[in-house]
Amino acid sequence: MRTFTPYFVATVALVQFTHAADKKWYEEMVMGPAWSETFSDYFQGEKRTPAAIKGIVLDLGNDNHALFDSEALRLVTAYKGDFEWGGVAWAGSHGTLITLANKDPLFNTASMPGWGNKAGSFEDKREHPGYGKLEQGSFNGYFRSGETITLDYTVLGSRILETDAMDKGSLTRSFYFDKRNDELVMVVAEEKGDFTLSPKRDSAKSADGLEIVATGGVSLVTDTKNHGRLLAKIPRGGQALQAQIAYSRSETPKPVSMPDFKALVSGGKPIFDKKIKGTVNLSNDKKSPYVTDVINLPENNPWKSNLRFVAFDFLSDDKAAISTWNGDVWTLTGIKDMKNLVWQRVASGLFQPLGLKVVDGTIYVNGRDGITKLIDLNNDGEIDQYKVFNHDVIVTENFHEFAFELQTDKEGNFYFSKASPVRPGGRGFDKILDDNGVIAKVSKDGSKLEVLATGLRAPGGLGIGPNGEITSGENEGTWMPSCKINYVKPGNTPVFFGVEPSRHDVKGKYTEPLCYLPMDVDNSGASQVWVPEGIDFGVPAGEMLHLSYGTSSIFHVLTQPRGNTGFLEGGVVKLPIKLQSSAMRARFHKDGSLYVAGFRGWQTNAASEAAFQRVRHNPDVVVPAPTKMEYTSTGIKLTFPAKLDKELAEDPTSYSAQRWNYVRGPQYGSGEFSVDHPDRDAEKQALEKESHEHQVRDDVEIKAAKLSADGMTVDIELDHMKPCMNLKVTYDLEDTDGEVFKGEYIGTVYKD
Amino acid sequence: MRFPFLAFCLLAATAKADLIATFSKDGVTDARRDRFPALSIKPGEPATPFLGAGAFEVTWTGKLVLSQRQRVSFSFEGEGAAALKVDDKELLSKDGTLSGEGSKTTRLNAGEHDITITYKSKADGTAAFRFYWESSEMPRQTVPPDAFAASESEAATLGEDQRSGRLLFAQQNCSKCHVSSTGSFGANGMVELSEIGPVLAGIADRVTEDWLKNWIADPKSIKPTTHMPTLVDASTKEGLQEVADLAAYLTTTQKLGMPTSPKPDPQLAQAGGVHFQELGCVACHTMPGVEQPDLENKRVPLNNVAFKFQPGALVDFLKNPHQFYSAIGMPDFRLSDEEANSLAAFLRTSSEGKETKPGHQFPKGDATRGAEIAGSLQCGVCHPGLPMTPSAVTSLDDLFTKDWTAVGCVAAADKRGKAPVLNLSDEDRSKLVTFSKSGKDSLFRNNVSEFATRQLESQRCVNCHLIDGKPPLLSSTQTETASLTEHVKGLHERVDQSRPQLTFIGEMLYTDYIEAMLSGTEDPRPRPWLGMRMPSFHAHPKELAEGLSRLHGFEPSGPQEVKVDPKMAEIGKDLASASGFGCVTCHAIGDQKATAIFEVEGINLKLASSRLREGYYHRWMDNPPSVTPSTKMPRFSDGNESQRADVLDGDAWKQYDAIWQYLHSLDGK
Repeated sequence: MRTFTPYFVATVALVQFTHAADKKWYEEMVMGPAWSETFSDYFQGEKRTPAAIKGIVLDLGNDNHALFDSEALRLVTAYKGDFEWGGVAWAGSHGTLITLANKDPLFNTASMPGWGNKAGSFEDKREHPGYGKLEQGSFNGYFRSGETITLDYTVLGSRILETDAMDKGSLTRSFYFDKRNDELVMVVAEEKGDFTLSPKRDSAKSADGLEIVATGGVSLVTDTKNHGRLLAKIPRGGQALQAQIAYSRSETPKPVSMPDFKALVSGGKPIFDKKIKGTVNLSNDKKSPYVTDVINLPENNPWKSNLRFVAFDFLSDDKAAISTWNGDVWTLTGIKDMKNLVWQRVASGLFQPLGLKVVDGTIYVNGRDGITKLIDLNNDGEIDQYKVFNHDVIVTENFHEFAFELQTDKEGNFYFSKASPVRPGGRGFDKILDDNGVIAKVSKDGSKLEVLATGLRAPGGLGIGPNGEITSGENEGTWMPSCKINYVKPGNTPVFFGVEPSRHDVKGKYTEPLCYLPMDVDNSGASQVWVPEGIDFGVPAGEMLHLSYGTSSIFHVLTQPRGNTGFLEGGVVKLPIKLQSSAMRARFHKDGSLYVAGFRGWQTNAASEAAFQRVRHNPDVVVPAPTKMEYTSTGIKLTFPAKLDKELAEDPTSYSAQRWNYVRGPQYGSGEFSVDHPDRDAEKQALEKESHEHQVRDDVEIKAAKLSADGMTVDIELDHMKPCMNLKVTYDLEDTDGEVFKGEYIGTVYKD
Repeated sequence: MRFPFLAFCLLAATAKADLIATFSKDGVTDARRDRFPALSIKPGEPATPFLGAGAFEVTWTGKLVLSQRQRVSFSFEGEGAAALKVDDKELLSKDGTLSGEGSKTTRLNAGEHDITITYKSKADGTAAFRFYWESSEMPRQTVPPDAFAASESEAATLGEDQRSGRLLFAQQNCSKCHVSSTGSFGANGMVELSEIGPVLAGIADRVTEDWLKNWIADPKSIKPTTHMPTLVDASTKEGLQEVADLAAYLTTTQKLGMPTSPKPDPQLAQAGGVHFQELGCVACHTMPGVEQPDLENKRVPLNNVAFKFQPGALVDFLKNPHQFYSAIGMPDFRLSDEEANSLAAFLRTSSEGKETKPGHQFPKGDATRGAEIAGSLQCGVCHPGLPMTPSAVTSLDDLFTKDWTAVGCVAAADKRGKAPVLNLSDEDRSKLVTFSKSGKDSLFRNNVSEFATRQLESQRCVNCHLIDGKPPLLSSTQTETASLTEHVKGLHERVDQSRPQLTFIGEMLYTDYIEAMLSGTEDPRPRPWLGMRMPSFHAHPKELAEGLSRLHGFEPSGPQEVKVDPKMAEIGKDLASASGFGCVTCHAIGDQKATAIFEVEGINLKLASSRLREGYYHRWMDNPPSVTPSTKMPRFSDGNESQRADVLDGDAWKQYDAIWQYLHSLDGK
């Protein structure tokens, strides 16, 4: 991580970017002045994991860094140096976090709340000590002005702004305290040797040589039980107060001049002011039902930002905002006519934001730390305020703590999904806390987080239907027999979707999905998106599309009510859409096209590391796939969007069918098991041992096929129609013009 | 490979997932069941053991089973003459070099289609044949085993019974007593006939006298699958005396005083239990504490281990199971001292007091009498070094002129006379009789492909490896021992522990590589992440490796020279990299470690050039789930359309070829 310099901007157009042979991309990427992640560090010679779950590294220039714990509201350390790389989104590491190279820090604080509670106690009274928000205070976000970050948090009802600066080995923390109804007590530093206080209590020096100076009426004290722990007291008072605390090991620290807080929170100079001209490869294909316009990514950007684009939404008809796994948000303007495309990096340093939603022209991102509202205070296009919208989500240090998607319902409530903390090897789970493996709803005003579904493993995404229907993908694994599409209507929550270790307190039975999906169809699910009314996308309006991250595919989800249960049953047919990378997020544009973004971070057949593309439907070309499905007592009816050749449609050999079951249990995934001739012993063993070697599908005889009077629906009679976790029906037909309709329907049949 | 239940039902009822192969030579025919149509016959080798070497013809008949309509073109590889008929329509006929243009694309509906393939060898009797298909949805590849089915056939049943009888004849060591007038079966004889029984020199250092008595009295009760005949009648007083005398003879004379390893420390038993589970011992054995034999799966019981072995001798046996019996079924796991000691401790502790109880008391034995009895029982014919009396039994040549049901070892009990009681079921005896009618000549002939087919079963390869969609026995039995590792943390968090399947083994791996895997000399291990390991099969690795290659129609070979176009290799390198298909995520390449192993790990790609045959590589790359349905390997193309449209015109085959060339530009191991 290093700071972007004007010189670099000036030369960017002239030089061809090449990575230094010995440097990895993440060592070269300019993260910006604040960077959120879960970090490890060194504390008094020992490695500390984690140092901060929701940590923010502040780049203080000249290779100086500080780490702020936005849950404990504590400055963890300040040091000169870089990082020991780890982290799943960075070095691809599953078990090792990014570690601050602070073996020789300017100072550290111990893992504890950064501020005392009303009684002045630092006891960690959180339900899970070390995890989640403090009772005595909360983080409000931060402001960026130029390269300066101003932290914004509230302690015991008093708002605090903090700006840190470091120069020549000396750190100055400048504070603005709003009026205070209570005395505030802050952790300043922790040393092995004891601190000695000056008589005025405005300076202190540790036995190990750390000197600290306080101004503005702040008095320094040592912890009564630990004289190596230095505290600062900010007196109660009805007036705002500005104060500074400065640290140095080489000399008596001299605080820098007090910053202008008012200016710092009003928006400042942009730091990513180089805009990049965009290009697009427009498809001229008039014969395919879907064509893909691939928008070229600004890969050679001056900040060497790794553009694994993932989540996006539209700021207007002409402008999209899109986030990257590595913490950026970019805007792309000119999409209306695709002629004058301009990329702009507008935000950086977000915590793996895999969800993004625009509400009333404002960008909200969902990262592992929660939902953050991104505000451009001075209308220069770049984000000045990273405001906490809701960071209540409790997360752990596990690498697999992904936060997926951000969607809203008609009422304006927000939704996202969370993965369970899968162990580094992929099997089993690490420590599970309250919000692991859930679908969560956050109220429109951001004040309340509510868990609607539990028992998820790796949902990959989420969808919210036109009537608030909640859906998610899922990924084969422990307690998850195969990938699937979860579905629940509002009012039927909370539900439990299958992973027992992340069931939490949702009682009741396992809610089976809309459908299961075998590995060759979807080996890693992502989001769902519903076709809006008034749009011709070759799929009826009001229908759901499912995105597969693993097979880079988009499916039309065909459903029918599941009896009177309030749930749906059905399956998928693949749409002939070609993507440049994986399918993670999709949004319909008002012009009827579907934008799709995806990247490659784990197993997928994605063709490239990332892509952002526009998929258009050629309205004159029929999509050769069923548009409707109906289970009958004897089989299945499939409705096609064209009149079918009768001879082929009524020839049973034009179809084939198979059915099979899975075994859901504590093992990783499942084999496939006969429905018609159940092997109970094998099913029982599948609960005790991985069963992928058991692959038995029943071939189901096609007894007859009858074409409807309108020539568009085939009624396929199977040799017994019965419940099964997967029914696969293939078709190989032609329409009356000789166009081939060939594909397969894969779904689930319930007995309801 | 997915195993459709339809095929399963057919297998159980009237059809099996294979083809009937009818061979003819000089007016003589021989039929068998083949998993797929392929041949590779070397000079001097018979097409089957029941025909002599030389020019022959074979016709494969059966059904081509399609789960859905396909539009395919068929083609051949090899030399000779071949013709294909589907639904009575000739689609392809070739003479000479069989490769080249295939049939026209033919539409075949879902369901079964009659298929007939006729193949004529070259005039000198050598043969090479493989059968391919391709469509717009898949690249050219051999038609897989699960695409075939065949109904019952009297001729094939006869042929299979003859083969079973022939194998029983070899396994029961019949030819050790019924000696051929030529003295041996020659260099081209049936491979198993060259196997020698256990050497008993030093047996008294290794096993207890009490176990020997139990064993001699009733070997079948201790090991139901043994080939050791019951040579004495332990239901009589005389018989019990003979048992005691034989045991006394062995313990007295076969004691060499060879040093053995120290007695294993019982404290190691828990660690041994972990190895027992991790190495998958229950693929072939029941738990050491289980006295009831698993007759259905023919697993070898271990309840007599503590009773049998002298302290310490078990450690030596586990480390070197073939030391005194080169053809032993137990493979060599190349155990470390720690593994052997702790396994021995576990086996001894768990089987203590669980031995098979004979139900009778043995009298005191007399070694001198025992030596005489050993000679009269011809022990030395199977156990080198033991006495034997020049035989009065029927010679091999005469044996095949007799009716085996009338008298002798194979006859019913009331007609057996003084013949030893072999461990044979009625079905076994029937097959031996069927075999007897085919004459002795097949014993002098070896077809290495058929040898490989036999070995897959007899060496219990299928107990650990999936083949043709059929899960290995271990996948159901390993839960029996799951409790042995319950205390070990982290075992269930490892990456996927699946073992490779054998369905395509001969077309997948080079012969040299198969041999190295069988011998246990392959270094590095291709799948070092597996808790299990491939043991060494010391008896016939070369023959088995050759047989597996020829079974799939491939001439045995090591790695082939691949002409590498540097430009293509560079494209392949890019495609394999993180900015391409991301192969490097799961696969190491030489010293460069995989970048993000999760749930599964892939084989180091640097090994590819020394392991993989090109045809299989393309089959795998095109559609990994069609080979291994549960695989995590992504499918990067569909209908030869690559996900990467911007490289090599989006032609998947060309892109995979570029990666192939890149892999061959890496220098070997």
